[in-house]
Amino acid sequence: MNDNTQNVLSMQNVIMQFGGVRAIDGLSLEVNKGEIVALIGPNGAGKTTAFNCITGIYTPTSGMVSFNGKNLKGISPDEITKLGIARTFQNIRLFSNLTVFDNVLIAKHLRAKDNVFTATLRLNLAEEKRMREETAQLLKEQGLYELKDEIASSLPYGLQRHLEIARALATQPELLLLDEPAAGMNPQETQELTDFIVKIRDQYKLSIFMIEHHMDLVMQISERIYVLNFGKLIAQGNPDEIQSNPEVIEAYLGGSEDA
Amino acid sequence: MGPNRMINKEKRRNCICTLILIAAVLGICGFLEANKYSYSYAISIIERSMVYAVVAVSMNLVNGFTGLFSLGQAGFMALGAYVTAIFTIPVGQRPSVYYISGINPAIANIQLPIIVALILGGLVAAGVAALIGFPVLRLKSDYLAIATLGFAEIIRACIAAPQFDTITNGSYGLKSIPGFTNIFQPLALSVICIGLMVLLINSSFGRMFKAVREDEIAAEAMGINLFKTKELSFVISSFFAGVSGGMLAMFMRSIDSKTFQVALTYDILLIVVIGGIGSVTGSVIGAFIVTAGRELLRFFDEPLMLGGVQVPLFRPGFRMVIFSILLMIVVLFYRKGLMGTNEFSWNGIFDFFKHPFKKKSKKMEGKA
Amino acid sequence: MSLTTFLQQCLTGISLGGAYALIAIGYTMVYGILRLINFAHGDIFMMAGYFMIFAMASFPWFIALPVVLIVTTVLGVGIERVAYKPLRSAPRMSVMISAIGVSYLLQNLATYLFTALPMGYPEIPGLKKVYQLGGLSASFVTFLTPVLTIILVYLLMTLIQHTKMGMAMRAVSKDYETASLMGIDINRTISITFAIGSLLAAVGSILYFTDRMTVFPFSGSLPGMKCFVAAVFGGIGSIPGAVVGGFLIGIGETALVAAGQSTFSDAFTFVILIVILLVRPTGIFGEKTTNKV
Repeated sequence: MNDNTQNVLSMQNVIMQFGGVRAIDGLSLEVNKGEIVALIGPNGAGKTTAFNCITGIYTPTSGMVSFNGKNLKGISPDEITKLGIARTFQNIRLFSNLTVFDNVLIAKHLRAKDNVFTATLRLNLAEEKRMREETAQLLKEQGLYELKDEIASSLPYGLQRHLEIARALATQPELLLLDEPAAGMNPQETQELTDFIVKIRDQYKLSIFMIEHHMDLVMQISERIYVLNFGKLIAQGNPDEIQSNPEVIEAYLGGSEDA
Repeated sequence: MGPNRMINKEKRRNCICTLILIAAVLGICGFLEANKYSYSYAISIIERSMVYAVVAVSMNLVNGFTGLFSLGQAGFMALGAYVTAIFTIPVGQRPSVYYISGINPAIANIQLPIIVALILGGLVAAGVAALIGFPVLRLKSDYLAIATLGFAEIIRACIAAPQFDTITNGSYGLKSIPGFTNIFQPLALSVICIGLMVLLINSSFGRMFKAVREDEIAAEAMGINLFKTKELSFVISSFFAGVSGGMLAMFMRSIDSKTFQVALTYDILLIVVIGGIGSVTGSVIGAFIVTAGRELLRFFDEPLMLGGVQVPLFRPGFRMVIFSILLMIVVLFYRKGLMGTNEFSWNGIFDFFKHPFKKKSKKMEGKA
Repeated sequence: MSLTTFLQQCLTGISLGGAYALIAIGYTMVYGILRLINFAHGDIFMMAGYFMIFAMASFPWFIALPVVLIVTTVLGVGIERVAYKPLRSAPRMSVMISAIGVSYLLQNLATYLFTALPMGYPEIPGLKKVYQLGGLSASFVTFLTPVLTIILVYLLMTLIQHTKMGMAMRAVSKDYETASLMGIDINRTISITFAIGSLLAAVGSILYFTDRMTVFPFSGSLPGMKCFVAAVFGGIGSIPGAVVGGFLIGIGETALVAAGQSTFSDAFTFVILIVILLVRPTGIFGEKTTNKV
């Protein structure tokens, strides 16, 4: 049916069952190279669960998740990140007590060629230098370099979100999963974020899959949208199709605008 | 003056201060060593503090820097202590030490140099930690604490068991352990051990430990293998706990399984808490404060006469009550301990003296 | 070993198990509500032993008994107020360290006040009287312990299932924040939990020390750890589980001592702990919980 080599991400009939509850029921979707795809739906629909199935935090009860054709079953989250999938979290999960610089520097380590002995005895100076330079570079590109020595938890909320995305970018992913990146933002910040997402997609050659409630953001930049309700896919298509879909409107109880 | 020249001036000042500090430490140790007999009490306090400093830093490595609440230190110290003791008690004296059941022939004649024995002790402790790590490191923090405590007790039971009499001498313990030849030995050992741990903490792997402490799920999402990282921290910490156990054996000259009861782990925990969880400097300072403090507080144990009147409360045991109350005060009101998560820095000290009352602002103002 | 001896050992084991069960309940209830391993619980049990010694020296037994129960309960609730309540919003490690600190303090306090030498435990009239049941002979307290344990556990379960306070306790242990939003007085609920736990520990201490006959400052630490293991084994947060765990450990320990392996009888408990944590960390009756990411 689908040409797997075009798919960066593919979920086929994934079911995630917790005890008696099916958080996701037969979800199939795909993200193609270079696309910005959104996953929307009312609260509790199973969106973050879907993300967790992709990144290996949950193992699907049945169904398959594949990345560039590779089945992700049984692979641990850290390995999945090494394969090229990075993510941010619904509730910001920064390394709160560490500096901005260290937050990103840590994300650089997954591709380092060192071990505990070379690191301790400082025999890995070349790798350390490379990681630090790349971190500095990334922070400069993201406009966060001036804040590099600030403690992560002391940053204003918007900057913390920005840092979380920067940290994810540091792992050099192919696919970036954003979980409600605009949560808690005002309209102006949301617009800046919207432009930012397109910019990083182009700049870092990413494919982006995001969960979002801010419909202006979703409708503006998503090429395709999947709508989830009670764990089931109820609609998919481009923004126009979704906006006029009666089932979607009903699922949100009369509004596609964020309150 | 341009910024670069300022930084170079600072660096030079810091270097000079460090050299002065090193000279002072060596000088004090040399002086004490030369006057060994007059200062034997002070020397023993200092030596014990050095041993405790090493194990406190090792506990901080796994508890403070990696966020794993492990209470197994006493068990790993026991392993290191016994291995070191077994291979350093002079061969000629062994039959008299193992006078009840005799010594196991396999180890009867092996005598190792002290450094080798200490490292071997550390390796044995690390090996056991590696095995224990598999089941235990998956557990949540509270269970991890009890599980490590449990393993420490199991280790102790094995050491004391009659079945292993020919190796560990069971409940009779080991004596005639050769001690430190001079104060520079424990000084060098502890500086090297703590130095290695500091290098580790400040390396890329140390950052991984901190990431795991801060947020496990985020760390995993950033490509860090949780189990391997935790196991590494646990094993390395246990290695140094084992080495410090060997040092303790050398300090005490005789050990038995009672030396390594849970109370020992609690003592180290006390040092780590008072010094600051997450601060190596704090653990080192804490070790000296607690060890010296314990001795200095001895006067609480003696009856006190003030102007001919006996002050109530002062009798044996009061010292430990005071200590426990101090610990509770630190835990309840000064949770961050002495140093919090800060480390020693000359800049910090000079800043403190320049602006003793300057408060650091916490939250940043303004937007991006 | 003859049948009588075997049954005799069983009786001893069940009796010890009953005392352990009562103490284990205290651990499991506190953990269920606060997610805290109350390291000091074993030492509260130890202090109750000392309270009895002094109470019996000053009052007749029918006054001393309630006095000890009340004072121990006050001690337990007081510890919660002073050492745990201020740290309720602190990271878990801090509260656990506080619990360890309290345990340390109680042990040192007992050593200071009563010296480290074992003190003789007073005899409550009637409890040590030896009775014969068939071929078995044991003191009254040995027969009494399991019976009393079952009765108390039954009363406790009734309290939890059928009273408003019990419902409050169940709510708080399920979801702390929501319970407080629903108007449940968290502080009172927690205090009552500690009170019940300490009360049962006091009863357990009477039953335990009457048999042992001496108290010393560290008499609480090993039984305390064993009872915690019992609680984990049965499923932390589950009262029936704690009871089952307590009996199991009591019987197992007695069996090991009877078989001549007393050095390992203490390590046995920890082996059980490791095994249960590996095989079924939520315990026999525990519930699995999932983490929301």
